[in-house]
Amino acid sequence: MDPYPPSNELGATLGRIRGLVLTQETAQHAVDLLAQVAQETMPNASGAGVSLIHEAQRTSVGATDALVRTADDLQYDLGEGPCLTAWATRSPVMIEDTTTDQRFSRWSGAAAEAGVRSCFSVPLLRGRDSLGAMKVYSTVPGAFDEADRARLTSLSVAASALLGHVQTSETSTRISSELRESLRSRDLVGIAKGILMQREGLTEAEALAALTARARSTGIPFGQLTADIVNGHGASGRRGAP
Amino acid sequence: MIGFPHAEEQRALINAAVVESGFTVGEVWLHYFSLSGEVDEYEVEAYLTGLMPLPSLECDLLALAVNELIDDLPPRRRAPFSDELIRSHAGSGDAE
Repeated sequence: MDPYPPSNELGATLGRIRGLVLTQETAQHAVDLLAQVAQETMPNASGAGVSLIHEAQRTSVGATDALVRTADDLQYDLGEGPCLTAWATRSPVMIEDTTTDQRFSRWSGAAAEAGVRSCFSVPLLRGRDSLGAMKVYSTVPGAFDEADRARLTSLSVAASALLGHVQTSETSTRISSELRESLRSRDLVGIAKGILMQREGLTEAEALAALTARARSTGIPFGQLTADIVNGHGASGRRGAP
Repeated sequence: MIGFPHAEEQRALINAAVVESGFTVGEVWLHYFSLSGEVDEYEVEAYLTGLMPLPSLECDLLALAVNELIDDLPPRRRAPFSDELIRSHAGSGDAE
């Protein structure tokens, strides 16, 4: 969409300006720690993992062992799997046996081959946001009973609160999309100012004053007003578009 | 530019609007920046708390940014009338 995405450095700068500390390490540390806690909480799990997901892309992943990591990587390679579904549907996903489950046939087959036989994944929810998923794997089928599921679900609530905090102060993808939007909007204001200056013989300050006055009198949001002018739809107050 | 009429009153009222709507200075600044505001976040914060003046055009742009953020807030919850509830329950088919 935007051919010139701002560099990560700009995202980091904006993050700092906004009083946020941008460190990939913070998120990585949190997901590693939470994966560890999930495994300790779930005695029947052979391994546990936590993934932060943003726009169907995994931004950070914590895993207790290589098998968890492999099973998790497979989901993003194949574009399907219990965590992606838990994240997208905001509800838990239970796979009793990867050799018989039909919902994610490609993932289940590959995971079974790698040694994963059952899996339980819960979404990490914070308000309206789905931050990612927390999951436990086992090398035996049907490893997780009702009590296990309830335990992981309650752990996920605490994990979401922690990650929501890390996420808002950390994920540079989100900040950089905000930044991109903001820079684009700022750019449009600049172009609209230039158009008014040229068309109506105004100074830069006068052009900005004219734009704010127009936004106030019409009630049109500033961003839309300037975009309209740039796209040639905003007729000039005095002369009309050439 | 600086020291225009009622500058202090405008500042106090912009600040009151920000405080009352619950936006952080960071959120206000980002929107103000996207509207082509020239002043950085620390200065905006200093202005809002009354520590330094800003040119009148920047103050107006800040006011516009704050107002646009407020306009985008979800409206307050409205109280239902008794007949509205009767109508909405009749539609959902619950028996008394």
